Amino acid sequence: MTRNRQTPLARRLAAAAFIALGVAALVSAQQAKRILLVDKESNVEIVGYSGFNIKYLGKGRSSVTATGKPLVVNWTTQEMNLKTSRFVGTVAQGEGRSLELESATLTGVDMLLKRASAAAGSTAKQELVMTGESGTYTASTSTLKLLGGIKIERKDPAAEQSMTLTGASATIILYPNPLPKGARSAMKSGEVAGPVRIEVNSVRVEEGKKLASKIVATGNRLDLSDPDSTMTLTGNVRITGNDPALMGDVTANKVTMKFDAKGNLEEIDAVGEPTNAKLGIPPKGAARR
Amino acid sequence: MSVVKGTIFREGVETATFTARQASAAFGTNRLEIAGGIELTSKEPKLTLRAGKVVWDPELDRIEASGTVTIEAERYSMGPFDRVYASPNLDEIGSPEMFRKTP
Repeated sequence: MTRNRQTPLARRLAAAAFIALGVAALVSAQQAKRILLVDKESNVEIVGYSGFNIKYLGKGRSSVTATGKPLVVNWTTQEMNLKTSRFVGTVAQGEGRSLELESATLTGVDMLLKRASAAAGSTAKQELVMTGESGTYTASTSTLKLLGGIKIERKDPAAEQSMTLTGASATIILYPNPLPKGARSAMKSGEVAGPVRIEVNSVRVEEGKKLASKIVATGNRLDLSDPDSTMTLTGNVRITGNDPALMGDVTANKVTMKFDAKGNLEEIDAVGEPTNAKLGIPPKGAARR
Repeated sequence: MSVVKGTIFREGVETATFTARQASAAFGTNRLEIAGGIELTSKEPKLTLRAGKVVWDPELDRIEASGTVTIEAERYSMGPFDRVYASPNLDEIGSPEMFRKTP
């Protein structure tokens, strides 16, 4: 039988050495993460800086200028993850001991928002990723403005819906988190200047069978409204796809597509000259393109 | 263990206090060097800077902190950093290459 022959002093020294090693490891991990700022409720966290300057503005507000490769801003209550190479913005006191992001001008934008899935009863998350060469974010109006080769991707696997949108610039109004009842994505509305291309994928259920639906639309401008469940394309509009509601290609000056609660194309309204469209829900069993 | 306590003034107004194990002033340059377990606490904003070494240069109106620098406020914390520059009342803090550079 082995007996512990350590003296009380030796045990205390060993314990102190163990604690010192733990503290050193923690500091090392924090330095590796390059934490610039984190609030006491871990709500807003800015990490990955390469340089920074923070100036106190009074009344709990501070201006933050920071660079990184990338600089990462995590905002827990908004389920937001933002990657950028340069951030110039302000943070302010939030509720409790938290901070909130007020506004930011960004060079290189890669913003991910997670929200509840649009699938009824699902606990899964959907994702909205918005990228651009530069942008501005204003929390008070929940507005993200993107410039330069913008791309917006929405993926909601539980609801079997996805959307990919590209354009030259965009102004996006975001819903708060959690989403209000009936909202289908984090994007409440949007104006996208073109040339614009949008691809919408969903699954239609007909007679118990799941049918994949794809719609590809291009135009000079796109306006989206989640409350109205519409997407309106204007200027040199062309729509193709295999959705049965489409029944062929559409070319027009202006096209408004209305979607149902499951994200399927419900109605399509085309105007202008020339217009070439075959519209309406086809009879059951109609041949699909 | 000996502890040095001191006060930093800016234009005659007390802006921060500190405790450290060592302090030395170079009268030729007006620089104050403090080292060892430093806690520098500012009045407005209320922040506590901890570092291994701090050099206060009144002519540049700047402190240079190094050696696992952390900054603690009521609502948030910053760092650890290897080295930062700050105004003596800690109302502006930055990495050396970006300190006081306007965006």
